[in-house]
Amino acid sequence: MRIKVKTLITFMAIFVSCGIYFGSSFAASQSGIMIDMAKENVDVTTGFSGSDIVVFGVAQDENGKSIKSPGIVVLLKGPQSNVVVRKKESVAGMWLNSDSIEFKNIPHFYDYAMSMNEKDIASAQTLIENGIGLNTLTFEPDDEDDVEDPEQFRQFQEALIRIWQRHGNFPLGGRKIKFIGAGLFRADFALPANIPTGLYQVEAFLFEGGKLVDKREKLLDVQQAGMSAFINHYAHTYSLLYAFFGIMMAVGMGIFSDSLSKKRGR
Amino acid sequence: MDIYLPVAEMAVSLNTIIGLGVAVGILSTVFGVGGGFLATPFLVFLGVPASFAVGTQAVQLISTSLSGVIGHWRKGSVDFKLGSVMLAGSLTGTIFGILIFKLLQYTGHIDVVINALYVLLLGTVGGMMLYESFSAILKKKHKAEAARSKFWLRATSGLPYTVMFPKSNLSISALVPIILGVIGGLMVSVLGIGGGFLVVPAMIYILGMPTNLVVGTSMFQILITTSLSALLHIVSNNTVDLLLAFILMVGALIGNQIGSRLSPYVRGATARLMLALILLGVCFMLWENLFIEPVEHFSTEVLDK
Repeated sequence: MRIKVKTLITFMAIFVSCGIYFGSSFAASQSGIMIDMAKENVDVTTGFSGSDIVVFGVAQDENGKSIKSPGIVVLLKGPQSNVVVRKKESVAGMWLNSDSIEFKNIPHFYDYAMSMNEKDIASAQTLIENGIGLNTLTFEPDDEDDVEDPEQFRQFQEALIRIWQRHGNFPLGGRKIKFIGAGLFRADFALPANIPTGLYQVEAFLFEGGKLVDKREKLLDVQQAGMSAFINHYAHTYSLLYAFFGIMMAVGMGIFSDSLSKKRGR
Repeated sequence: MDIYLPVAEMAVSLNTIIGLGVAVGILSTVFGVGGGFLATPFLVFLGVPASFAVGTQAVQLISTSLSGVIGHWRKGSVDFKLGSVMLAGSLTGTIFGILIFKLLQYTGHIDVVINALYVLLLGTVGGMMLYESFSAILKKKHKAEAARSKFWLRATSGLPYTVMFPKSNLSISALVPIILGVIGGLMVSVLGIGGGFLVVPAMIYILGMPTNLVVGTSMFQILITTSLSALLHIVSNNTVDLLLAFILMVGALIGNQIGSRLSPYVRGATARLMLALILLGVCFMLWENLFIEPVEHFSTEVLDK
């Protein structure tokens, strides 16, 4: 009997989610948003010093005409990993790391651009539901005990945001979507040089009257390329060979350096 | 121009790294030191994680010590027997050092510990060298050296396992060079320096080695030790960026050329005085890091997925 109920629930879930899926694709035939990027991959080479990401798009109404002043949000989100935040405290005159909190699944990069003021696009609640804004990032500690002192937890969380804002990994806010004409818009992002490689998510949202009417997603592939990728690959996959090569390189340099000084007769 | 380090996964200024290499090259040619004590703290200062600074320095140290050993070997000023006995200690010290390094990395204290050890070492050695070179310049030829060796001779004479070292004309307990080796090995693997500036005086005062054999022997010992250290840092921690090492070595090569033209003008006590001031300068820079209240009390570290 129990199994039957479970099966029924599963069926209903599939049915409902199909409904949502088709519903959303129908919505695209009404008002809709389309995006594309100037480049779909970023090559991290030895000359890499950050990269500009440009997302282009159009927002159209049900008749295929461009919407006059659409509520658009474009979001760029990097891969996630755990981040340790440490606090320095003075111990006998020396500034040492004392407390630390490990946060789970923090995106290495998070930024978004908007076509108008936040409150004109949708309610704070709606934005949060769609994962828009820094305060939608969940700061979960790896060790549950760390939340016991909420004041301290908040301090560590704010420090993480503050430092990553300074490094360019988190938004300082106020990134604007530019309209080029004929409904075409562009959103500019700047990836700093310290970002990790991996798959980045680009999400575009179209809001009408404070409600989400369409959403598009694309992936941005950030990978090491060329010599950089070659060295990194060898360092991690064949570390013994990499070590051997490194030692040989140093030995070669040492012998070369000696031969130079011998030539001078020293 | 910035260059992206493929293994450290960060961008650094190419000119600064070459400049650092040149400075290290000049130092090693003029003063006969490895220059790791300058390179490692500066790399950390530039934002390279301490683990990468130390690991990468281990590779650069191979080339510096190798060219030194070849030169001394040609002149016949390397005591291979004594060097090999020291190696027994330094290889053990290296393995322990790598373990300590990993442990400190895990607890998040590695940067502070490296910083504090540098302040301690550079302060002590720089201070001693400053005092010594000042007295020498003022022509106060004191007999401190002989007295100190006698003290150590008495202190170490009771130890077992006496070994003959014909080249150095010494007959001492093997334990003494082994212990010196352990200290040297720890410095190579934890601090990324050959430790010549500490081990060389110790070999003169504590072992009582003839001065002309000391540098070559110490470099021989460092060469083997740092090769093992580089290997272990790569295999166990993956914290060696060979592109960074290569740029540093090219810089050092240029520095050697400049240094060899400078060195005729900088000799003896004046050279030691200058080195003492450089040591104390770096010490002061690191001291600030440790004792002045930082503007940002928090730091972040991304853990591997």
